[in-house]
Amino acid sequence: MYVFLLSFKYLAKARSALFSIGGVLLGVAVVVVVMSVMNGYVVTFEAFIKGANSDLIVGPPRQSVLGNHYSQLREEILQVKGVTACAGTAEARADLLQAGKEIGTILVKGIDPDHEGDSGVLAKGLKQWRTLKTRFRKTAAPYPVFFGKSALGRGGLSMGDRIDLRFYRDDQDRTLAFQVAGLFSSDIKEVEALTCYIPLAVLQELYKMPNGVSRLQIAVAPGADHNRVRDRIDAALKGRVSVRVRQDHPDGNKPLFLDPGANLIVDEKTDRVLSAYSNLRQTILSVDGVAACAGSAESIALIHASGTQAATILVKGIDPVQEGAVGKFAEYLKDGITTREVFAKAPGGDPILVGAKLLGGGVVSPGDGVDLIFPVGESSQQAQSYSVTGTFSSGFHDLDSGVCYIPLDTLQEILGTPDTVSQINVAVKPGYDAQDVQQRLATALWGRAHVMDWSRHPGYQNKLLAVRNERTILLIVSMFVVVISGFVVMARLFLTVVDKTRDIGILGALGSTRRAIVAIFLVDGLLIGGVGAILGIAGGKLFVANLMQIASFIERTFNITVFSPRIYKFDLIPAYLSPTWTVSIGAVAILWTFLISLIPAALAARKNPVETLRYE
Amino acid sequence: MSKVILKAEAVRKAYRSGTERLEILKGVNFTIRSGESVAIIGKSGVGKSTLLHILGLLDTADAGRITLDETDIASIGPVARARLRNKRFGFVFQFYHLLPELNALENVYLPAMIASGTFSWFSVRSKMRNHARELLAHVGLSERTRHKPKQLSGGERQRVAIARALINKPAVLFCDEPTGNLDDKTSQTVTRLLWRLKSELDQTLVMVTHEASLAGEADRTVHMVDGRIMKEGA
Repeated sequence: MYVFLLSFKYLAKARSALFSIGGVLLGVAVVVVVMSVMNGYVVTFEAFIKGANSDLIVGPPRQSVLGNHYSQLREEILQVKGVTACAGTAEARADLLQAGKEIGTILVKGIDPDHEGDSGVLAKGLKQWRTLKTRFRKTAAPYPVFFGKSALGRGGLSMGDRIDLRFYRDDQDRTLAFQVAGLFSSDIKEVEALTCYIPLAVLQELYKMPNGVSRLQIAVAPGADHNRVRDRIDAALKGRVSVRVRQDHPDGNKPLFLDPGANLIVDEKTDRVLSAYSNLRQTILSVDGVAACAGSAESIALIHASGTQAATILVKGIDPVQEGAVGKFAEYLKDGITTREVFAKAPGGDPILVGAKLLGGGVVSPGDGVDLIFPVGESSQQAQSYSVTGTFSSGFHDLDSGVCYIPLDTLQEILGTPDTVSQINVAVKPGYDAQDVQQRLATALWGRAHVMDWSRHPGYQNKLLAVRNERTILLIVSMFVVVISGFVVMARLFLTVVDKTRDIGILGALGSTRRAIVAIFLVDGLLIGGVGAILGIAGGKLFVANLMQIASFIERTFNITVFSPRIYKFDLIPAYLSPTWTVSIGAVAILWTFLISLIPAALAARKNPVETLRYE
Repeated sequence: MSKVILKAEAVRKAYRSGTERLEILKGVNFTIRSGESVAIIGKSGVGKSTLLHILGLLDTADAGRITLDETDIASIGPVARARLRNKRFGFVFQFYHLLPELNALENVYLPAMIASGTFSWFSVRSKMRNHARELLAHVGLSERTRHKPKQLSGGERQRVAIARALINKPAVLFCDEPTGNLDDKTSQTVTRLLWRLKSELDQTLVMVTHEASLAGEADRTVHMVDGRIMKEGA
């Protein structure tokens, strides 16, 4: 009992204990705050993907369909002030075959050897670029291909190896012969293992689109405002394509190592579609385990409300009857209105549902009229008047500010693509394993569509992985603060041991064992760790509870941006820490202070009582 | 003749000071019987305190044999030695050696706390606190139980140390220059107290001192010269 009595007395008397507790408090609070924000981001982001996409997603078949006006687009974009270079790429998924045996699926990127280097897209990523630039001009089989060093495992492929790639186009496949012309390395292992590069011309010929690309990457002049350049390109191309600054792009976290200079991305907006939606829907609904399914289509349009400037917006056509059954969309609607009700009443034009933050928020409200201008074909447009019948608020900035919903059939009519959708969301019946249902759907839709679960959505999969990785890295980094605070505790205990040398001798003379003397200082360390961890958790939670107020205070005081909803996609800084995480952080801090207290405690036990008692 | 409690036979002890080896005890033979009081006297540095530390199991001898109740203490491990120090011996030091964080009462019952386990302390706590109060009253400090050592005078501190040494009813009370740090008047008070307690409690007492007045009342006096016992007398 005297062990606890003395530990308490030593702790209560020394002011240095306050600094040690403060150190642990700070360390734990930092970890709690960092992990709350990172966890909050992961959880909210997962909820966002899940909420927007239902359990399973049926998308177009594996290859990307290429647009067919690359040269013209490139010329137009190069005319825009601020643009320094522009290069097109095409993407396709293919099966990788070695000696006729299928060994995996790979993302094939077609790159344009004439312009890629100019935009800086590949120049820095691929060290052998000059050689490749020459080799990529070869357009007869075996075609040149460039693999990551870790493709097929390290050392799996070497220069000069022959491989085949099997591409899919409509319901047919075609196999082409390639020869490894180079190996590249990347910091992003996924790119190194799962991506290969071939000449753009090969893909263009394969898909019978001699002038087609699926994406253009644009380098912006140093110092130029990216958003302004984007607006200028938007205006020049009259909304025919979607131009985004990289960080806004849904594929923003796709491997970027290759294109340090390419800041803007141009996507073809009319590729990736599923035709014969009605048939697909019937097939999907017939699969065991499927509860509901709803198709949706998308198009970029310019939105114009009275008194405001036109802005680019993503218009989603949704099925008012089925949509509520597949996702969380209905929960985002304001004023308790249902999807069906929103799309049923439209006194002043076709109904449209807009995000709460459209055009900055508060500009349009139910009853207002807005105009949408859709690009149709290569140069024509179609303007359409709509009546706002409701607003929605999801808490996700991109959705609330950049997306509006109209009935699916209306959008199909405008685009001239009846019975066509860009994706079909599928809800799985309760009690069914989503992966089993995914397998059954994949078999039923083989060749016609690609099925994935929500976490593998091409727009988010990499981002989700990246955020989870970031969470782990930040956990490790922030834990260093706890480690350092442990050393503060150790330093204090060393001082206490030196200060209490005589006491240690007295206790020895009075019959205290070495183990009990160790225990006195261990309990001391444990008390510091325990009190510090509890206060740290409380402090961290308090900080997290007032995160937005603290962020806005810092923004006001120092005139800096702490949190931008535009970049982070959420209106509020997301923060969530499960009780398990909270307890684990506290437990690790206590355990660490306990372990590190062993060193000074062992020193205390080695003191010789006779030596310490000889003098006053 | 009463029973032998402690016996030292041919005890030797040396310390190393830099490269030099200092032989402090050079074959000491010594016996303590139950109920007797022994004063060990001699000049400074002759090995009085070293002998006391070895007899009190605070230190170990390099050679020779120490028996406690006829058991060779060389066969006893460090934990058992600590337990013997706690239950069979009491110590009074020249510099009092009270724990500054504890008050007088806590200092007195500290050995009782060490003797009992963490949980068994709760069952004996009130009994031992009362016993500690009685001992403090016995040494004339019933009004000073809540005072910390720094609030007490030198004589009062030494009286608290004497009460502490007696809390576990020790078989032998070792006093190492108990008045060495006190003025004459206080020294006399503490001396009277020690002899009173000795006779009241029939306490076995071993005292290291260089004060003739203190040694004079002992049943037996042992003179030490240069690490050896030169003369014993009643």
